[in-house]
Amino acid sequence: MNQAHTEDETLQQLAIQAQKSPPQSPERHQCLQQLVSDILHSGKLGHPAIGNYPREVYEELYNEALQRTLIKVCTKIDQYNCAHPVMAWVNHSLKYTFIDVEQSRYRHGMTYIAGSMKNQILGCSLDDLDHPPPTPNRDDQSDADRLRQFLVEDPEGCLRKVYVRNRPEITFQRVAIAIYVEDQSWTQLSESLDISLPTLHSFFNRNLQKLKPYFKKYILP
Amino acid sequence: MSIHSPITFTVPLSWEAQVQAQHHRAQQVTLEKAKKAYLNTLAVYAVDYYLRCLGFKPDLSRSDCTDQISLHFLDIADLLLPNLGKLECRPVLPGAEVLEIPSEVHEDRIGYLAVQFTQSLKQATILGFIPDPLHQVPLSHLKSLATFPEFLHDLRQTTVVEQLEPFQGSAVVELGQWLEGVVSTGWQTLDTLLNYHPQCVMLRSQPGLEDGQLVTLLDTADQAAHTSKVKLVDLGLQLGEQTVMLMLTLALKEDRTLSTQVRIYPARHEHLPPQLQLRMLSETGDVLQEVWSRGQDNYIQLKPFSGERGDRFRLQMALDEICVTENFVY
Repeated sequence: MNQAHTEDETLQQLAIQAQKSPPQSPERHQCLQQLVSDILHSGKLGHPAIGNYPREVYEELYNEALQRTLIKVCTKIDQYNCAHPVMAWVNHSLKYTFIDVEQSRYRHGMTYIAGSMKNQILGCSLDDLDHPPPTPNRDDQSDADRLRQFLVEDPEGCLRKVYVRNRPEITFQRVAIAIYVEDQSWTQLSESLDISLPTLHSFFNRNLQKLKPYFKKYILP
Repeated sequence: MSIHSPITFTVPLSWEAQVQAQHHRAQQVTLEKAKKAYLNTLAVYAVDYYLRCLGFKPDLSRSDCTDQISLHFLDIADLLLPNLGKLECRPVLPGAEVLEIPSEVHEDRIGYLAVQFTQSLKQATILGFIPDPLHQVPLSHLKSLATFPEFLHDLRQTTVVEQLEPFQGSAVVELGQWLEGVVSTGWQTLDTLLNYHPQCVMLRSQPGLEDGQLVTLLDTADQAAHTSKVKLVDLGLQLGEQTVMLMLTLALKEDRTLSTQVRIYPARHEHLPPQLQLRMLSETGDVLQEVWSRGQDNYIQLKPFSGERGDRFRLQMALDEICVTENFVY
């Protein structure tokens, strides 16, 4: 039997099995999981308009289109008609999704997917992460200063009012400054303050949630 | 089913994910925190995408890692599944053999997922999960994603049971009295409902509803008496948005047990919304039956069941975050 035919049969079986399982059931989830995996490994995904763009730009557009298509396949699996091969259905959706993606590239003015300079491609690689962002944003710098200032000044005194039970010297303010301004690690801090790590985390996390409105008032524009 | 490889899930990362990741990266003052912010954001988006493919509805907006404050202090990558809890989405670098879980996220999580990136950071693969944290987990010790849907499903079952109030003290509908003509609050005949709620006119043309009576699957030869009652139930966040009609038909059999049929119809539309769940629970919260709507359904129904005087059960209707429970006694 033709290899391609057998593979699509497998995909069809998965799609039908997914349709038969109730939505939100573990059976359906498992079928969809396997179906996506098999589609990605099929080697049969189309590449609409591949000639129209430089390689790096095309990769970005295609990635986005593929991402949108796969989620449609999953969330609209009940609409798949098993009279057609699965890959035909997927590629049909991919073709039209690609057009949408091309249009949104212009509509949303994503000009940094220019493709002419490597650094202007959207997103960065692991190597890029080991270097500071190419053009430090002046706004972001002042955000950093604003947070530091807020922590140190504590305009309404809320940060220094909260402390670990029986340890009044360990205020939220002190911990926040140690982590953010002094760039200590949590482990270092727990050792130097002589307090257990879980206690420290529990104290900080719980109070950070409560203090968020206070933070937002002073540091968000 | 095909067995290409152990179950993992590969996700192409969207523009939005990369834009958000850049945004969070730019806010950090140290290189290390900036790198973590970038990877954590991508990991959360990858898991969010994966869960949405499966049909879950995670709420990205309630992640602490995107609140513009938490990442300055904590190495977190949290994603909320409403009504269940938070999952932690940990980045794993290419070539790594171990999943690291920082101490700040050892509490308040229902589970931890490992998300491995390619060098280009354009793709992420969800490798597996563990329910309980360790500082370092060898990747080979991760549980397969094949069992993840079931894991979440089991969690959901236990969570639902915990949220049920004890039967005693909640409003209970006394079904035995229906056959004596007693009216329970909120319940009425289909005709009455249609008279008082003309906007539910769609119900008149639904299959199975004739002359205000449910066309019953119950064996009519066997019955001494029967009755049908309906109740409008609101399952939307906004009033009137997702109103459904719950219909209960009772038939008293010769052996004095009460045969029961339960259906849900959409009150204002032709079809039920998809993924509406109807469950029948025992008094103690065990799920005895459940059905789901798919999106083109005119109604859904449970298999008929019966009970004796004094027996109790509960019906639960759920849609997204809204869950309504009705308690009954025969």
